[in-house]
Amino acid sequence: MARLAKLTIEEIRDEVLSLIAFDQPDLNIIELSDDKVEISGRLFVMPKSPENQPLGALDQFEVRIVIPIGFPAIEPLVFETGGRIERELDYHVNPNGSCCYSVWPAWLADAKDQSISEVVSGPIMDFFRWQYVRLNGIDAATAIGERQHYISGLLDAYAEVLDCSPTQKSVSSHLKVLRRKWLRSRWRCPCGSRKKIGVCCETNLRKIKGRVSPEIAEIMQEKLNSQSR
Amino acid sequence: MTKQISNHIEFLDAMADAIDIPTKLHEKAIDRYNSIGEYFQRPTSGIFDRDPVTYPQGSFLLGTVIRPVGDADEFDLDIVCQVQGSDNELTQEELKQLVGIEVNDYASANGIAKSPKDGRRCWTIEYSKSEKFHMDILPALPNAHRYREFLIEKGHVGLGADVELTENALAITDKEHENYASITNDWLISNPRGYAAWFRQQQSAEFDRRKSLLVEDRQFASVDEVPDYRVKTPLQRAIQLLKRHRDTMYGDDPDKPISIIITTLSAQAYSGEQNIGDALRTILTDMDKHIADEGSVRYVRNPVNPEENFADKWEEFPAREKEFHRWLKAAQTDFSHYFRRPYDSVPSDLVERLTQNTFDKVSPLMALASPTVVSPKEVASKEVDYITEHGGNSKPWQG
Ligand SMILES: [Zn+2]
Repeated sequence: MARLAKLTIEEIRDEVLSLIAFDQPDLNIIELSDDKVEISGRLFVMPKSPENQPLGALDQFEVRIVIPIGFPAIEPLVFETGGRIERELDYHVNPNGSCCYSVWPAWLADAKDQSISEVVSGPIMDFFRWQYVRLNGIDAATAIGERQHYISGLLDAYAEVLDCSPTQKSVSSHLKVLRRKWLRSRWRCPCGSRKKIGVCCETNLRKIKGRVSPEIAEIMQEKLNSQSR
Repeated sequence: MTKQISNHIEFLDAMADAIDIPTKLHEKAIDRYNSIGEYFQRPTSGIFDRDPVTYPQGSFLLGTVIRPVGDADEFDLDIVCQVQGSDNELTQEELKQLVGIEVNDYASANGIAKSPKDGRRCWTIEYSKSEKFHMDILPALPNAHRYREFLIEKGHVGLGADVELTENALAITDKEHENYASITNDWLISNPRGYAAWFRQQQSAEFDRRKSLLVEDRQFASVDEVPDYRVKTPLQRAIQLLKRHRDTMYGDDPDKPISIIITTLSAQAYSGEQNIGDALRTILTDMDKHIADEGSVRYVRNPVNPEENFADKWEEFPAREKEFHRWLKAAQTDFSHYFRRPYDSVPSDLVERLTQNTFDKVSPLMALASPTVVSPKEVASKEVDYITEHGGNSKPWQG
């Protein structure tokens, strides 16, 4: 199982340069320091529907994105700077403009590669597509969906990744197993059946372990801890 | 070319088609080099005994020819005239003259007024103005054996053992070579067919797929009957657009990025994309990553002869390296912005780079698409419908 990349700041910069070369030509690097790469400008939101492709971009938002050293284990911060989105919890934007665009560790588990281009064209663009839909008079929360605030939304997202029920107990016992390097058939199954893994969910657990490495399980657990406090 | 255009990809395909050499002219060019080839092979030819073979090289062979920006300008048709022989019985000068006699005879036998020009490495035949092209003929000897030895000696063992990429290597003449007039074994080497074979490998899956499509479309009875030049892959198309973009940005500026660098880096970056939009995205995002750094020297290595650096002039003329990057940035910006606008609202910068003249040939095909005015809310609804059906839009969350 591949470990998350440990990128140097130069490697992060190179990934950013790949992003702004073609996919997001109106973003620019505004700051490059030892601990982060900061970009800002207009983010193009591209359509998902093939029918809409000939129209080009659906919308553009003024943004500032901060990619910290430690990416991808640590998530980029995204700010909407154009003031087009009300700073409201219901719209998933904090008073300082920072955007709650996704449950990061869940994306880490699902992403086919954890590059900056993937983050921007994936969850970040998804977030702004959600806002675009809403700004066009459609109730995006109902039409596309949203996570509930705080821990319940987090548990929902985790439960989808872990294929378990969205309770703290179930999620925690799954993470406990997945944080270990190996999966042992004789351990008690995290599903709550009281059986051994080997005679219960082993096949499914091995499949999940293929996506959720111990490292990602650890990041998931830390986030859960910080939300539980 | 009467198909209507209803998206970005169809527009760019049509533009590339419009800057490509017209099929008729391409067929005429083939006739021309077949005709000169047959002339060289006639029994009274001075090189008859040496079994001469002629074949195209360069962009004609790669399928990346583009029209000159001014329609009055001519196409370059580069061909190789390979004769049997060895550098231990011929000097470069002797080979050049041996072929030159035949080239001159051919010109006078075919009523070509201007006498062929004896250039540094080639003979040039200037056809009459109405013919729209001139032909550069490169005299050459087969050189596969020494070419392989050279590669292996330089440590390129795998390449040296690759038959397909080395079997057509050549030794060529050069008037500025110090031993031009003496028998030596240090002739310049060249390998245009090897390069073309490498280029073909970079796009082989898509090339074959497109040939099959022409057969499915009943334009040809079988894949073997489809001439190579009737197939244009997204790689070839992208290179044509990028070369045109370069041509209009630089004109005759000697610091302009050269075609062989654009072609090589594009083919290296290309990874089998099936349409010109995806191909341009990959190429423009990744092409500069294939420039190697060694200290302060930059390398764009010839894939079939890594000892040859296509960027070897960059050290002497640093402006050329700078201009390559300035051009790349401009091409990224111009093509990327097009994809972010409606397909029929082509940015003026891109029109200027691909020329107004070409745009005017293609734009009527865009008007053929029936314009359906869609309200912003309808567009947004279509997005929602698609996401509802296919999923894949991550959900926002407040932590
Ligand atoms: Zn179980």
